[in-house]
Amino acid sequence: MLRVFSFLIAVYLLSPTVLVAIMSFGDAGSFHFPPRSFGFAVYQSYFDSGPWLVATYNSVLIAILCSIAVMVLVVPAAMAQARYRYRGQEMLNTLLMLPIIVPPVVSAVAYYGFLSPLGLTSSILGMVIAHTALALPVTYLVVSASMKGFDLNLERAAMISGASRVRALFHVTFPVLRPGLLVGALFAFLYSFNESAVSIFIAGRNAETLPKRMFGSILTDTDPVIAVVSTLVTGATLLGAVIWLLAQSKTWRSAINWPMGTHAELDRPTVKAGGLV
Amino acid sequence: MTAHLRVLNVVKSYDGFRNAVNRVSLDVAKGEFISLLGPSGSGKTTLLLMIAGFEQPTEGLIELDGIDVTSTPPHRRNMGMVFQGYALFPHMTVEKNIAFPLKMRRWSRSDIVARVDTLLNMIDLVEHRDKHPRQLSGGQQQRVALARALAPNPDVLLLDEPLGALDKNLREQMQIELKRIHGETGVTMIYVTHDQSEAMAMSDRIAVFRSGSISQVAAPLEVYNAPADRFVGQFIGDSNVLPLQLDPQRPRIAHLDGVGEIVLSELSNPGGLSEGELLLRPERLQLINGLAPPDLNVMRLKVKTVVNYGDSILLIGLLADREVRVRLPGGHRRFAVCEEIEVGWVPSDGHLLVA
Repeated sequence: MLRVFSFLIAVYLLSPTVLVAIMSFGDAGSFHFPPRSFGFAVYQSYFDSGPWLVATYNSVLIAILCSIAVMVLVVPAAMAQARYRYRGQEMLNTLLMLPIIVPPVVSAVAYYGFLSPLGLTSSILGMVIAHTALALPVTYLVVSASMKGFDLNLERAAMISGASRVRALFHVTFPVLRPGLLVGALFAFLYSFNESAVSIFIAGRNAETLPKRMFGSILTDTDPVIAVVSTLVTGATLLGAVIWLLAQSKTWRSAINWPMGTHAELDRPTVKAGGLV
Repeated sequence: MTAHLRVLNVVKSYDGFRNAVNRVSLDVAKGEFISLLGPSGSGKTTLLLMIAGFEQPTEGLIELDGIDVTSTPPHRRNMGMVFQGYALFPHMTVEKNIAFPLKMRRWSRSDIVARVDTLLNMIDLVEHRDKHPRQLSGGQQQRVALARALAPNPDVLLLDEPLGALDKNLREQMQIELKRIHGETGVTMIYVTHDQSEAMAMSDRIAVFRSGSISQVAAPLEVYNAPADRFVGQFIGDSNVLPLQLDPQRPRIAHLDGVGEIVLSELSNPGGLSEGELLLRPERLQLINGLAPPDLNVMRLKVKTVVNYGDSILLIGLLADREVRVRLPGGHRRFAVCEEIEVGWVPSDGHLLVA
């Protein structure tokens, strides 16, 4: 019974995506379901279309810059919140969550009002600034959760072994926290990549992202390229989710001291950096 | 003698008005094995963290070979530390864990390989060198942690309840192993524990901590036989503490309720006092059959509880209304509850506690 129920939920969640994916393989010049014949004509027109490719490039670039910026802000913040106790700490936690609470359209208007006097609307930088603030809460939650489980004695052990604070961070703390940090960065990337409300308000012509172009396209014409883009974006997101699940199973394994795990690949970069043997 | 490690009037306060460590001074000689013993929250771990450099003293000095290291960061102190949960680096193999401090000190690759081999042999884990910590048993992890701490030939090895997580048999094995390694390396060891038998078994000296201060620093037997105060006497080993009325005029004679006059050990009474307490170790009390030898102090007990351990028997008897614990060797006759028995002790086994 429960299984049937979960199956129905999965169908409910996935069917729109699947419909769009099927439509993307149609050969017609407009939306039809089911398509009369199948082919890659629409994919062809996507890869031939300059504006769509630019939008894809912008989306990826903004998402990468956004996840870097988010990590630079979140890692020290989460570390401070996990390790120190000070006055106003709880309030700071709430403040960090604020971007989640505010409705997207409200923050879109706010960012427009904030960025346009600075001349940062319609620019990659403006988009990165806005997305960084918006993606921060989710990443913060993930990263601080992984830091709460971190044994501070590991860092002490590194320092008494002769590592300065900074070396202890890079040789021990970050490698040990890596699964959590990776997931955090991935969440920031996906958030930025999928964000539409703020993008519509501030992306303009110069920083047009995929979601923005898709909205524009659906308003002005019924170009089936949008189905292709949706499919590709869904595919990329799915890939991200798979990576996330893998990283999750790794943290889970190390948490319960899984013997003979798949940790070999986790260690490799440290070996490279360290260079013993 | 100049001390190898000197802790001088160290105070640590986290909140500004309560002291976690309160004016502690301690000199540790080179190669000494000293235990910091005390209940949890007595400040022993805080002192260890300050010696390591992880915490800064609020007041006072820490010197290593006459050089003030109070504000030297941990990575420049040339110390090693074994942590309570071992704190092995989970993303490194056994070998890399042990090599880590050498890498941080920029040893040459060949020196590192040689040193790691030596240590792996010492802890008998050569065939586990490529495993990760979580693939090892608790005892093996413990040995890796020890090897990592010893790798760079530290001046001082700090151990924070290193055997706390092991079961009893393994703990005894590791105690012997630690003593062996102490003998082989001659490294100065500072060992934090709340387990008095562990401290007794391993240490050259024991520093007994109580609410942030040191109550006594002495060799294990001295701490056991002549505790500085009631707290030390009761914290270390099993004990009976009975109130005494002293006679300022006759320093070796005291009055014990329910017994009468008893003879105290020589030199134990500083004189001039009228009240004190007698500390009697349960195993120093002997059962008297028939006539008591004249040089023994004797008390009459009414048996309340009998616990037979096989190798020994614990009797809890009543002297007036006070419980007195008596530990006799096993194989004695049976004892019945409410039976009256006589036990005696040599005057030098009764330790006088004052104030």
